[in-house]
Amino acid sequence: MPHWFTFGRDTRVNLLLGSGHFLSHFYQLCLPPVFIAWQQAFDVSFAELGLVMAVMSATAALLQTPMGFLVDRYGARPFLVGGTLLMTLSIGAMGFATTYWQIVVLALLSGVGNSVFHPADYAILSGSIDPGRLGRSFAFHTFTGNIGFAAAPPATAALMLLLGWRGALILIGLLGFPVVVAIVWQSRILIDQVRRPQSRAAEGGAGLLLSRSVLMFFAFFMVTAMAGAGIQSWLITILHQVHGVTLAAASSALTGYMVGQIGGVLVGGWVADRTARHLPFVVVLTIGAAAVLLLVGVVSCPSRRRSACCLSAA
Amino acid sequence: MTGARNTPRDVMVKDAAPPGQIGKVFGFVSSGMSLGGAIMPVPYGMIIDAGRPELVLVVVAALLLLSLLCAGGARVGFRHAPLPVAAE
Repeated sequence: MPHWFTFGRDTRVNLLLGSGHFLSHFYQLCLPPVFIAWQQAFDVSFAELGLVMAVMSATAALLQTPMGFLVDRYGARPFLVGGTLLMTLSIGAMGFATTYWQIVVLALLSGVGNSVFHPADYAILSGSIDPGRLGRSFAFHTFTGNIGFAAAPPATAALMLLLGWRGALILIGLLGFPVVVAIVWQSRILIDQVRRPQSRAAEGGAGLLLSRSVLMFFAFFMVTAMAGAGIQSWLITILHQVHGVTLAAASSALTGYMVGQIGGVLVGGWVADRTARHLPFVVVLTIGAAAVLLLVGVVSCPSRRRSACCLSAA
Repeated sequence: MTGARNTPRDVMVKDAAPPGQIGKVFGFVSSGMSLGGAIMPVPYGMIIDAGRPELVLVVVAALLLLSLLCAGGARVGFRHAPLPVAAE
């Protein structure tokens, strides 16, 4: 039983995986603040710098599924440790880069490390956490990733002012080592998902991914991200052009949306643990969000009320 | 509201994944998220270039409603072909 002065096992699992997930997101957005410095240091175009991000994201996206197969076959822990270490070393090594192509190769390696987190973390959380608390655990996991995204640009920019871009990247890379050590040290509490019995080893595989239900979930995630991209990329432009909102206010509305979304994740986790009726909950929220967005898009109303709308849509 | 959808969605995916298959299922659906985020910013930009920025939010709302059909479809598929959960 957990005591007041020690963390329970579920809490430790959540903290360990959460810190890894935080890093995986932090390492994706710690590079943009460095771009201006790189542009001068390596004499490259901004398009070439954009390629660094594209290489990292595309590698992570493409490798997630194959990494999932490896996780299911060999267990999640070694991949989690290897992925975290690879990412840490790649970002730290960028601090020593002398040419642009070295950065691209390191971004590729960092993307490889990054692809591990979603398959490995969900396999371990499902195996380790009390099922009655799994919703909150998933929510905390998503939350740590969001916080990593939010923290990376300002933290990196601040470190650059103190240490220069090389020192900042090396220090940020070093941040990963305590996390790797903690995961290895505590690895006996990270219980993997229930393994498939050998007799059914031939089941699943690619056929499972092409089953109706998994393909539909794939489509659900994809369409949701397609909708989210519209808000994240364009809300500022739309509020400015359609409603004449100032850029500062429109940008704050986007921040409000993101903060609302992060808060919503925690609420969703709490609700998910209290009801098994996930689909009706999702339906109600989705229709509500769609209605609010239509209101913002089509109806003209005072800007303060519109900001409130953005927050609630999040 | 869209943030609060995340976790129930993850729990539904986890419930739909047979034992020992969670890694590949989450890897696969997560890559759907990356794909969706990668393909849409340009078409939205084209809508704004065409002088109809207010349509972007309409498209976003339509996509959100479309996502419900996908989630519903996933549940129907799940129910018709029950996956062996309690076998071991």
